[in-house]
This record gives sequence, structure tokens and C-alpha cells, in this order.
Amino acid sequence: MRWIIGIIILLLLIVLPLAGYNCGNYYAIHVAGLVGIYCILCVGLNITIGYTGLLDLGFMAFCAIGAYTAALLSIKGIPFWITLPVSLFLGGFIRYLLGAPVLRLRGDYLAIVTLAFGEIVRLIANNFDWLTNGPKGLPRVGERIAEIQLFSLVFKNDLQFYYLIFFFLIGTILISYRLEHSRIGRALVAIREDELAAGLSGIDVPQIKSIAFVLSGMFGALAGAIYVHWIGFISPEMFTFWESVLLVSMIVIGGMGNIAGAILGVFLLVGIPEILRPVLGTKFVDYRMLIFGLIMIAVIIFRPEGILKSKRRTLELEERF
Amino acid sequence: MEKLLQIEGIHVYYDKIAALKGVSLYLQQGEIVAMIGANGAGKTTLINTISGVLPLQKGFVRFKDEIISNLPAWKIARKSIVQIPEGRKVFPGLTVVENMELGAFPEDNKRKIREGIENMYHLFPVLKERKKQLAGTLSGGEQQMLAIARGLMAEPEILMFDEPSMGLAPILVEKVFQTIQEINQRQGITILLVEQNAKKSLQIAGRAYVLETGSIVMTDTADKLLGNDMVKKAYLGEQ
Repeated sequence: MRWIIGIIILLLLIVLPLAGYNCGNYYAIHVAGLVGIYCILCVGLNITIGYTGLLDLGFMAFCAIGAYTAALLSIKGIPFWITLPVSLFLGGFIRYLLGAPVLRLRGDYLAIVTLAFGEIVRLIANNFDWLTNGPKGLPRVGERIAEIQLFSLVFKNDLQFYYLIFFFLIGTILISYRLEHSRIGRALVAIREDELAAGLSGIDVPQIKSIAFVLSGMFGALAGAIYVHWIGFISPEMFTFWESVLLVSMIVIGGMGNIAGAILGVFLLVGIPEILRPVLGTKFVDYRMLIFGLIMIAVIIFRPEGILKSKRRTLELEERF
Repeated sequence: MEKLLQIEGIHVYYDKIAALKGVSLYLQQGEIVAMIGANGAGKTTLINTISGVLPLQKGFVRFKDEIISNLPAWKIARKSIVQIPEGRKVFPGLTVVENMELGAFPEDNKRKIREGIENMYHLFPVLKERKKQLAGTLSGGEQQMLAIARGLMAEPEILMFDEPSMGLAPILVEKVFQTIQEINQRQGITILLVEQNAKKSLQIAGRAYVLETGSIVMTDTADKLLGNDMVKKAYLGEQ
């Protein structure tokens, strides 16, 4: 039964945009693509926050690293299929360097360090004019971010990008799912639940944490790299602290440690406001954050595990309170 | 007989407060050694120091021919010195089977892990009934069984118990001590038993140490300590 529902949803996600695009509903396709990008980010961040239980308040930094790497390389005419792995590698490598000293700290300190790192990356992007063109963003006048080409197919319109994002999102979900149900995934749960007992079971806690932390950052870089090719422009203001906080909120509201929860969170906080924008008029946008706040408070009070709760997480909360 | 584990004059501090002041003890292959002492005597500190959870400032811990003091906890666990921590500390969000699999985390061979789990079902039939259940939903006694099973999955040479009877009903306390004795006799695993329940632990132990405010004040065979006036008065509640 679950299988059938899954396949139906998958087919709808493939067919509906095609129909929508042919009916001229371009805006909806654009929103769908945006939701997809956020889904990649949240499924990635969920590895750090949900599986490992580390609070990361600067995740957009890795999205920025991926995006700027892809932009800088593709301006030089290097194709996407090379810029993408370079972005992933660089995102992962910097994340590794950040994690090496920081993962030994207790949770609250990690949150502060990641928060600061997110700001550092944004400030570098804002001030290293020679590299990033500062607040004016990339590409500079006269430059162009190369199109993504797959054999003879050139990705140009939103629909094509929707499918590209969809493809990568499926990949992200599969990897994340496999990770959760692997030996390392169980070790992550053990670390989250009781670091001391995990160490006593022979789990190399810093190493396993580091693997999850790096993988998570690579998904951030992936989302950034695709995004910049799609929109064709980036500037530092896209990677503010607020965006990172929004990602965390999506995961918390949707349900920590649960892929479906992370995706639901994206729909609630990115999809629905965008869908409602034309319905309620631009005025609504001004009140969006107010409504977020109310949803957050309601979820935390009535369902602290998130809307789609993970069974494991629920038990942990019960143990603690 | 050769000393399997030797601890020589270890000092452990929490900031500037000494928790262990020059403790020396040893374990021989195949024996049960009890460590008795009041709250705050440093029993848990001692076990955590051997496990590598706490760093020591002076002295050393030697396992066979190797100094293992100040190795990280996970490395010591892989050397088959395993602690069953106080308060059980099973992973509540993992199933019974997953908890046991984590006990054998360093082991790659899936068949060996499965065999290990079968052995645990043999030893603790209740775990088989509960195998798909999340550990957080087990009763206290079942969790203690699971904690022991998880420890055994690592195929320990030395198993250290930190207050295994804490918070259990009397009938379960009996069962836990029986199990410890069984593990020792059948599998020849050397056991260090830290307990508040001095009487029970002295009954199953061969030798024992008495720890008081960070120092060992007495050591002898368990039988002799059971008959010792001072021990009787301070730990067994007899006049």
C-alpha cells in the first residue's frame, strides 16, 4: 500500500509540472524548483541535526561555498559536470576543517561556532571584491554563468531545471535513507542518544560525527551549485543567518531525524507561502514571518518531536523529561 | 598467576578535587573482583578511568603487556575491556537487536554478529521476545539484561559492572548477580564488579577491595571480608 502511494506521488511529481508548464503556469514550476532546492538543503542538514543531534546554525555557508565555487569556475567556461564535483569536494573539505576542532565541543558551542562561520563566509563573499565581486554578486557585467549541458540537451527553462533538481533530490534522499539504515547510521543514533555509552561500545565518536558532518555539508554545496546554474546569479545576501535559521525551523517543524519530516517542513515554510502569495496578495508576505512564529510556537508546545515524528526521537524525549 | 589488568597508583582529579588518590589494584585471568565502598568513594571514577572516559594524572593502567592509560574510550573498548555503565544506558531509540549490534560495532563480519546475537538469546530469552522493540520501551530489568548483552557482544576479556543492581526489584537483583556469575564461570570472562550491594557482591566474588574517599583501605579474599568486623559494620549493616 505504501509502495503504491509512493509511486503515485512520484508519477504526479513527474507529470504534473509538465502539464502545468504547458498550461503556462510558469510561476508554479519555479516555486516547485525552489522547493526542490530547499529539500536538498534540508535533507542534507537533517543528517547533522536530526541523525547526529548537532545544532548547525550556519548551514547556508556551505550552500554559499558550493554556489560561489560553481559560479567562479563556470564563468571561466568550465562545464557543470566538472564544477559540480569540485563544489562538492570543496564544500566537504571546508566542512571537514571546520568540524575537526569543533565536533569535540558540546552541542551549544557547536551552534555558536557554526553561526559565526556562516557569518564569516557571508562577510568574505561581501568583501572580497576581487574574487566574488562583493555585494554586486556574480557574474560581473559581461560575464556569464555557463549553461548546464547534458549531451545535446541544454538546460534553460524552469521545467528542465525542475527535473534536474528532482533527479538530484531523489539521489539525496536515497543516500540519506541508506545512511540512516546503515551501520554508521545506527552509530549516529547511538552518539546522539548517549555519547558516553557510544564510546564505551567501541564507536570512534569524533570520526563518525565527522563523516556525517562532512556529508551533510556536501549536500549544502550541491544545492548551491545547482541553484547558481539555474538562477544564473548569486550575491552574498542570499546566504544570511536568517536563511540558516529558516532551514533549522523547517526541520524542527517537520520532524527531526525524519526525511519525510524535513520535506514537509520545506513545503510548509517555502511552498505554502509562495503558493499563497498570489492568492492573498503581496500584503500577506509582510505577515508571513508572524505566521511562521505562531506555527513554531504551536509545534513546540503541542508536538515537540515535529509534525512527522520519528519514533526514535520520541523515545529520547521521553527519556529526558 | 599473571595479572591481566594492573592499575598502579592512579590519581584522578575533577578540576582540583582529587577523586582517586593513588589507587592500585589488579585483576587476574578468570576471577570476579568486587569493589565496595560508599557513595562518593570513587568507584565509578575508577571504572571510568579504566574505560578511558576520564584522564588520569598519575600512575598507569596496564592491560597484558600494554600501558592503556589515557587511550580514548573507544580504543579501550576495542581492546576488549568493556564497561556496563551505571544506569544501564541502553540506546532508547534503537531496537533490542540494534543495541546488540552496536555492542559489536568494531566487528565487520555479519555472520559473526548474528551468531553473537543468537548466543545472547540463549542467555537472555526475554531479549528474543522483545527483539524488534525499541529499547526505551523495555522494563528496567530487561534493559539491564540488554546492557549486559550489548557488553558481551564485544567479546570482552574484562567486563566491568558499574552498579548493575541499581534501581532493580529484589528478584531481579538476584537474577543479575546469577547472570554475572554465569558469565564468569561459563565464558571465563574476568569481572570487576562495583556495587553498593556489598553482601551480594562479596558472595559471588573471589577477592574484593574496599574503597574509601579515593583510596583503597582494605583488600582480601571476599570470604574474609565478609567476616571482617569493620566491613560488617560499615557495609553489611550488621553489628
